[in-house]
Amino acid sequence: MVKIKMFIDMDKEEQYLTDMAINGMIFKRKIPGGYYFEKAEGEKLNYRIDYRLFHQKADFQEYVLFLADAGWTLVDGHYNSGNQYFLSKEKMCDEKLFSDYSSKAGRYERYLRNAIISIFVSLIYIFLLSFVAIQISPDSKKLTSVMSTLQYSLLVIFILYAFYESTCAVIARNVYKRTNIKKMITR
Amino acid sequence: MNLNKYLPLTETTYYILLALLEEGHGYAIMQKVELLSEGKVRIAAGTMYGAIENLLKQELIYAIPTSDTRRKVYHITAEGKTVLNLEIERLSHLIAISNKYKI
Repeated sequence: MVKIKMFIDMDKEEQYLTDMAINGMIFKRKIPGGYYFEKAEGEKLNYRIDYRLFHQKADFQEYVLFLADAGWTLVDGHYNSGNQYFLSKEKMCDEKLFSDYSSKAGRYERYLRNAIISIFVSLIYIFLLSFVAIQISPDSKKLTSVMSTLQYSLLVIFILYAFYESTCAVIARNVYKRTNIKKMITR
Repeated sequence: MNLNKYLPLTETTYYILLALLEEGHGYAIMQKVELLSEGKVRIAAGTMYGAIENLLKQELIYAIPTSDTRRKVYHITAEGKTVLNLEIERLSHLIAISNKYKI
């Protein structure tokens, strides 16, 4: 079963997945803009989310193995998925993935960095698309648009994408500030 | 290089450096920290992973090449030892001052 939902705040996302599991909807896969669940008997499952991108698959495998050693099973995620969904091997426990506020907030720092890169890249595309349209104009005095429908659609897509990423970045920045208030170990 | 810039160390970093006076892989460090702190400090897995990554970047620890490519084994560097000693000095000084006041 597919549920359409979006989170930036990973604490709320963890809580959502846990609540769904209690109601018999077991999280299986992240899909764009939502989640895929499978029906089963309701149980309390301890989901925790990390945000990491890896340049190399070997680094990702080492990361997953280290977390597995520490008692975490990867439910969904791959080396460049960003969000990494883990499930505590011991059910009914309240084990956390982060034991201090700064590492907990670090997830949003990495998310933010990635969003800024995406915004920057889409701005370059927007600039290039507009630039190409002006350059190939036969009459330079009149800036008549010679953009094809395809170029127009691409331009619109990139503008919307840049807008979407900017919104996410602003929210992530707020969550980051809220999470990183205290820099002390929680026990 | 001015190693004082790393001070004060966080509790997490302090324990990891202390644990890595003997080489060990990620999960072994987690267990050792719990043992060293007599169960008072438990570093969660995600926090530990990020802390190791930072310490590698700061070159206070390094990864030892081993035949097992799946799990990296880490060890403290000379700089790491210096930083740890500077922190111990700093903490000892704090405690010495506090003792005068017999709180």
